[in-house]
Amino acid sequence: MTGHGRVSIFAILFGVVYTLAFFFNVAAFKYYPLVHQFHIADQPKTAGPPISWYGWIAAAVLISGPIALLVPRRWADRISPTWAGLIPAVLVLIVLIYEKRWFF
Amino acid sequence: MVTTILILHGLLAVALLGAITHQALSTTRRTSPVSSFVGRFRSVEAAGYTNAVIVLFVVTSVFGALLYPPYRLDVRPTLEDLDMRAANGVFEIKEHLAAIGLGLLPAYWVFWRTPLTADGMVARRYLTCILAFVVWWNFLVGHVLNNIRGLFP
Repeated sequence: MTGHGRVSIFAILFGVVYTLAFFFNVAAFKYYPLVHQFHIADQPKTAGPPISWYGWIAAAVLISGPIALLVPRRWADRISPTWAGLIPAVLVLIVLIYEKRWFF
Repeated sequence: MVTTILILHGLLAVALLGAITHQALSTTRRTSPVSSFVGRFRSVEAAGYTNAVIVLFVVTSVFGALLYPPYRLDVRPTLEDLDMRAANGVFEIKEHLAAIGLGLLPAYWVFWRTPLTADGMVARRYLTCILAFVVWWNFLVGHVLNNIRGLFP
């Protein structure tokens, strides 16, 4: 199958980068809903609780998108299509295992 | 406004749930006869659901993103005050799964392009089943959290 390589790389990298971003709490930006403001740097407690989720997704897009586009197509197409499904499945499992901290 | 978005979010999720479940079951091995309910449920032209699933997933996620600020300001602090850690935990998983699901959509679209290829079958099955799991988890968690005051008075 040809033409799948770049989207496979994107699917794999997006999940990996997003997982690392939330694991280390590194967001491209944070949104402070109490004051309706986006900030790159952490704000004082008076700004209210931040939302990092948008920034984690943005970080995943900004890193995985360019990398997927920069990889030459014939190299990218050498990746087995199976990896595009298998690695995200493993990432979902990792997320579930990591988040079990909320239940015990 | 929040209530309107919440209702739309829920309605779109129902449509998404139906579409992805039909498609996911169609990728599994056939064990039941086509004449049975399950057999008929899975005997669909699965590729035809792809664009609908993508559009519904994206739009439902956008509505979810719009609902996040009121959740973060009103609901989550209440859950923390009531020491309902599991409720916060299932929501954390919901947001992570939604994000991972969004990242899968381009690959999902490519592997479901017609004519379907045999060497893309495994990836197609994995991606569709992951998305189905994500949608089911997020649907159930969303409804439980939305009704948590009634469920755990």
